[in-house]
Amino acid sequence: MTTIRDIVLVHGAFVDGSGWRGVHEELTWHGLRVHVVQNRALSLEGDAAAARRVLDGLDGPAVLVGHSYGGVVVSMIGAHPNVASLVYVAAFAPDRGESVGSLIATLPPVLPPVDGMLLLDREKFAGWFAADLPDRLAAFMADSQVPWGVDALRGPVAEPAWRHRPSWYLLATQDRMIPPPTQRMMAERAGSTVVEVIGSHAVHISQPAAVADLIRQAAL
Amino acid sequence: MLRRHRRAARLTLEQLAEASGVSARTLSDMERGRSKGPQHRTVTALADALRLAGAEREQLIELAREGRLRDHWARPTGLCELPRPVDDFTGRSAELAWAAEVMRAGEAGPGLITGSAGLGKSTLAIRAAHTLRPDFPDGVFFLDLFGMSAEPLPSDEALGMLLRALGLTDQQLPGGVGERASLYRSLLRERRVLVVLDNAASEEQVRPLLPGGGTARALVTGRRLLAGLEGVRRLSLGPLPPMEATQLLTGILKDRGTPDADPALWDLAQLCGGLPLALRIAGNRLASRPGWNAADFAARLTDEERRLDQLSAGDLKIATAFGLSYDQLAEDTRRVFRRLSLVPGRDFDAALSSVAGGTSIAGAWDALDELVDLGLLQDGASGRYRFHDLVLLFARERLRAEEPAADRDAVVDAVTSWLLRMATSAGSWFEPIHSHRDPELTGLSTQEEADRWLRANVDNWLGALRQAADRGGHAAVLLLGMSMIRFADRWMHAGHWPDVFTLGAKAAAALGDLPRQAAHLNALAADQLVSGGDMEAALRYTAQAMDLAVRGGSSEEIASAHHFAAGALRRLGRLDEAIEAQSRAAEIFKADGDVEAYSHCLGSLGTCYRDAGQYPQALEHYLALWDLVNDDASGLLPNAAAFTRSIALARIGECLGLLGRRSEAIARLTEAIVLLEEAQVLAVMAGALQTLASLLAEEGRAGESRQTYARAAEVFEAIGDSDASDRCRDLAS
Repeated sequence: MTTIRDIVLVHGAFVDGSGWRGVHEELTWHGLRVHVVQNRALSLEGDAAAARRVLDGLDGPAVLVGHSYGGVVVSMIGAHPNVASLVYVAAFAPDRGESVGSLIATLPPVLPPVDGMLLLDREKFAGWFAADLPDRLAAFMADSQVPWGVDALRGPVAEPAWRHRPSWYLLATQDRMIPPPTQRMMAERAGSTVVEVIGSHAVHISQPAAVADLIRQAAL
Repeated sequence: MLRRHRRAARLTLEQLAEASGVSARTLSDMERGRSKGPQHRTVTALADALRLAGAEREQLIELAREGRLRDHWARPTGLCELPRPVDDFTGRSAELAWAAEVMRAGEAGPGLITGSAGLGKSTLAIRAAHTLRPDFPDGVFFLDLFGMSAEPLPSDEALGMLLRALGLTDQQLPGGVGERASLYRSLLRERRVLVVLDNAASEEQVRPLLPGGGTARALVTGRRLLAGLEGVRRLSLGPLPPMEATQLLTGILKDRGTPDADPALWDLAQLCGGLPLALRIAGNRLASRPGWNAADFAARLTDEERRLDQLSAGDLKIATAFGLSYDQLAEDTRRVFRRLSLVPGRDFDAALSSVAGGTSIAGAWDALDELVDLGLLQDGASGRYRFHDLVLLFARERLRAEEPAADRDAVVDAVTSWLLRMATSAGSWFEPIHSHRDPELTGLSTQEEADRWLRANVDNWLGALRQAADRGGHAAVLLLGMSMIRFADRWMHAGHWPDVFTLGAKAAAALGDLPRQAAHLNALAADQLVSGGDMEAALRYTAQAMDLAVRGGSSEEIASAHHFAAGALRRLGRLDEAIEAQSRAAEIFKADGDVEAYSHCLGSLGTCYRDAGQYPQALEHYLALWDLVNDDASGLLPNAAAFTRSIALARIGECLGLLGRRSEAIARLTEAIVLLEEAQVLAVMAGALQTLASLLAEEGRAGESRQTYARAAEVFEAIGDSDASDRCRDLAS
């Protein structure tokens, strides 16, 4: 068995790849090479292409990790030959034909689209997305949101990678963006090894050690 | 005594509280004898405040220590007992709610609390288990699986401990992991029991320890995710959030008069990374030296961290917290601390600590007290101590850095040789002639104490044995092996006997001691027989033993080889050969005057004839055995005679039944059952009751038969044979 040395991190909606900083620190300390994909978040195809380019450039097997909407990207391209296993972090794991839009019944407090782009209500961002982060950090995140394309939200997955790769799922128990029962349903049908963490949707920022720990187990 | 000193010093409770930093309430409890075993730190603070010195100070400290030990010993002897929760448990409300939800859920799957070292996984599980007690009226058990040690607890041993905690005796334990696991599951099926499996190593280790379906639940902790286990709910534990971390520190320092709102505590909590282990050690450090304040401490931690910043984030916080506690210890205590990292087993007592630390027992006590106060060691039941995994790594690192290799080797030698001598001496208590009892070694004055020492220190003396074997210490290895041959009968099914006797046989071979090499091979054969292991392997051992015993001219080992070979042959169904071998063993033992061994042979011969359907010969041998055990001049020890008498009578009754002499059989069995109950030979008793019940039915005594079947069902249930119990219960109704 080839040793896994590469980790590819795909961030979710409304945020950028800098949220992976704590996880990156933990993983690199353990000698892993970490690649943080930056999504443009205009369309699912565009984001999938960005992540695929990273995978194409690797010389060995990697763990592909997605947070939130990043899980859709992971499900779309995770059967790539350079991917050994998948990790979903409070993420969507759509089945055939499903999209983010079809997976959540009640949408979080998203403002009406402007030019096909979505943002969360700044006032509600902290409570919904980042309840366990320090107030000032949550406020900064609310003010520095990355607009999310409606097309990305609607993009369906044809053949989910979790049908072809072993997967791990980190379930955030206090998540309001993707309700825990929805996370559990997706994890169970994917046959993932599930680990629960007491945390908000921003669990990759509030509990980086737990997230990194799970990724390292997926890399064993 | 405390009150007397306080009055002599003309202090009120409040004044003494003020001067010592111990709360007035704690003082009042101590004076009224409600708290008999206060922590060492509390006692020394009191002695300081009372300005006690010399003998008076010693006396107060000694009294408190005795109180603590009594507290340990007075606790219920329950195996696998849940440790007490920590008094100042802080935060983790969502995690506790998670554990309660998972343990109360309809599905029987276990819960796993996972995360890296020092996060407080065990503390959380213990706290949760205490909260859940009312939901598990049939018992809450706790078992440390030593997942991070070099030798995690093997599953069969873990099952043995759990089964004993569930009420089985050593004799009732089946041998293999599979049998133990199925017995364990059947016992748990209908009980509301919670099992806390702390510090799990692997899926393979844990899987047999999980209750199957039914009402029992398991809560597991461990560093690893155990991804191979099915149906598990896993919780990954994070550090304490800053607010809770600060609260924990405040709680530890409460009795010390530190202002609650000290902003430096917040900084200190951050510097400890929210890790409960680091927080506790830092808090204890501050509490034990009131001269330091939190701001000084935080500043020192920051400097230290800068110095060591090549370490990982989490380990670094911890190592710096340990280092500051360590640095302030007296050199004697530091030496004991770092040298204890060389102890081969998982835990140790004051006697072993004094050997490792090169100090007197009193000096070891003082060091252990201080180390426990600072949180660098944990004290467990019955005066035993252990390291937290991370602290052990730290102690090893200090030892390597501070002591030259030659000194380290000398400590290993001292510890190894003391453990070997102690174990050999303890084992000798079970031999007919206590030839190797070492008069220089104190502590073991009865068989029970020797038994307890050997069990409590098993991983210590096994470690020493392996070390000695590696270094070619043949004489000591051989002596220890010999002294364990008898004790092994008493501690059946322990997985380490093959190792012990194999090492003993090799040592004997190296020394050219043929009779003792034969004795070890015979012991290996006996272990296969007792554990229901591989009978062909047992025969290979006895063949080698026979060859060596003949060449070495040892009639005792020749006879033993015949005896154990006969046992294996009988299990293989080769009854004629078994009878032949057993008869030769009986002759030799009888001629040599070894009555005890001869009595075993008579019983075994009876069993062989019975298996072969030759009931008159079987009866004849059981009657011969009966005569022997009733002969006061036989030379048998009274205990052994009582035990054998009960079994012999039951077998006589069974043979009479098989020969159709029903009324005699009924009389003998009735009498035997009383003896078996007195001697607590439950497995034989259950069978005897069942036989008696069927004979009564044949006699047309239906009512008595049903009652007897009902008793048989109870006894079968007590020994965990639920199939036989169900059968008897059906016949009883």
